[in-house]
Amino acid sequence: MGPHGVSVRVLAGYLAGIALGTMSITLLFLGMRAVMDVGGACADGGPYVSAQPCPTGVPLAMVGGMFGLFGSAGLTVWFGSRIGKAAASIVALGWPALFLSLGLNFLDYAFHPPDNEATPVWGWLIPGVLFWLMGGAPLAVGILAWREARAGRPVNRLSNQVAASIPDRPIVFGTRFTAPRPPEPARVEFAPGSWGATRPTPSVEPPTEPSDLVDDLTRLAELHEAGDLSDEEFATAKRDRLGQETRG
Amino acid sequence: MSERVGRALPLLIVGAALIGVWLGAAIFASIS
Repeated sequence: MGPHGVSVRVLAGYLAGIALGTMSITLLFLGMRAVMDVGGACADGGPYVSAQPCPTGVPLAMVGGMFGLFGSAGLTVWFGSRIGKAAASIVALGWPALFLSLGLNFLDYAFHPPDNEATPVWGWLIPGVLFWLMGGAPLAVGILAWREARAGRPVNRLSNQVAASIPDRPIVFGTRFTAPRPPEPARVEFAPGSWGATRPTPSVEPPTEPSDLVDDLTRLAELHEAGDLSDEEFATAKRDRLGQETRG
Repeated sequence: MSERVGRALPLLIVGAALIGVWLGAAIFASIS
């Protein structure tokens, strides 16, 4: 255990997460190239005979790579958050890493197709450009924001907006926080004899209960007894209150 | 985190990433 509380276990888990991530991307990258070598699509299994079976190992590499990415993100964030914010946020690089490397495959095959087609092969070029935009744009924004924050300059408008969209309250897992209690759900009663009976829906504002009247009259009487109300005032107030009830 | 580990962390991260790439390539070579 180091002075700041990061154990060897945490550090090892974090590094394993990163290694699992680059391993998964490598598997996807190589699996994708193998599929592109046979024309870009393949199929295995099921009741049909596939015209283009998959190259050996490709299904395992692709499925393993995809699940590995999720596992890697989990490990990196879980252990990285115990090291520090910056250590955990490295997981954000996974997105550009994935899209730039797979986009590189598309671009490579667009200009160097395996079967000597006329270049560029538009069917590869377009997804390649799209993948590079998807991977490159967030990376560029991230790098800009990071450089400005490092230089201590006020960050640019876009990163300001991104920062403003992050809630002030830290998102804390595993600790209790008191949320406002939700309104009580409507109660459904299943009293004997009430089966199938339709109950009148209670209105939002219940009508004045008789007990309110009793309370009011009691309070008036108390005031009268205490001498705060004269006989006449008491009689008038009582009459008004009773009249209110009958009009009510 | 100790000072030494803190300074070595970027290197450790790059090392882990490279080991991952190497592992991925090795696994792919063995299954294909």
